Amino acid sequence: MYENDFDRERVGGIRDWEHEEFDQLDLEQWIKASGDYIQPGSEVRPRVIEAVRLRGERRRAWPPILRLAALMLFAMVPLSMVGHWVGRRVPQGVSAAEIQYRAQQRAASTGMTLDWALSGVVHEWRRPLNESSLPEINRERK
Amino acid sequence: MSNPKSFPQRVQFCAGNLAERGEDAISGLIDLTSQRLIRFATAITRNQHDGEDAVQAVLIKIGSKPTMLQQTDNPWAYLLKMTRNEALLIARQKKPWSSFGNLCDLLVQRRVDEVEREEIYRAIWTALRRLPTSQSEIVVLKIWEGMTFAEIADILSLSPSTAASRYRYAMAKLTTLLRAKVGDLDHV
Repeated sequence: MYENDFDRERVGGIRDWEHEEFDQLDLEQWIKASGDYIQPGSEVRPRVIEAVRLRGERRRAWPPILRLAALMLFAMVPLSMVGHWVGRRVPQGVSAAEIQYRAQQRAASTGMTLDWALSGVVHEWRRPLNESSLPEINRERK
Repeated sequence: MSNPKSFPQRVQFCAGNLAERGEDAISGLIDLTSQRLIRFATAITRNQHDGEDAVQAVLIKIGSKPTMLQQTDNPWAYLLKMTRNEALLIARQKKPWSSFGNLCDLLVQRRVDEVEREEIYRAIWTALRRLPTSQSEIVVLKIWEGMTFAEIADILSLSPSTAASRYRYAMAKLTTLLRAKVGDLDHV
């Protein structure tokens, strides 16, 4: 009739209860039996699994983005060094007004026309740059 | 660990699986622990929907960090602690339930051979909700989880003697409440 001793004890407990011989042990047995009275809602399991799966996907999507960010960060260092080196090689600026002034000075002092004087000034301004930045080409030219 | 017997050992086995196989093994842990965790959380929140929310939050955290549970000495106690913290957090955010006798939030299973006991079970759940949380959680851990007062004290951060005295107060109150209920039943 009873599945086990505990069931027998439980029913024994109810008899005692009815006869006002209800003690703490019976109460504990009844409380224990009532523990299985409630059950989890059917949505709990799928919701947890879905949420864990989504979090996992999100977590796995992060590393490539982080790797790219790290790569860009590391690339910044050599790029900035190259940029600095190139910046030092770039000709120092000379304003058009200064070129014009030099050309006028030369034209006045040598008697050549302004366009030839301008050409000469520009040529002289560019010559040291060519010699320093392209030594191989300059050597071939010589 | 190949054939775990006790419930805490089975949880530990599941925690090992989770750490080894990752989030795919979370379903085993859900199946094993959800009912126990939900009834514990429900005893704290006094509402099953809130209890389920607390348990979901815990299981999602565990599933998202599969090795977390295995790193603890006692995974089952750790799960109970986490569930208690989540349940208390939810309980604090909610208004206190005015009607302790209302059990319509509970999802129950009615076995044919237990129909006549259902009223007693409902009376017990109602009586548990009338207890202060500090007492009802000890009743749950002592009776449903079969823990010693030392184990309960560890989970609730109390001394074992405090846990024991709260349990005695709770049982005295439950005895009073449920005797009255049995008296009502006798007249039906």
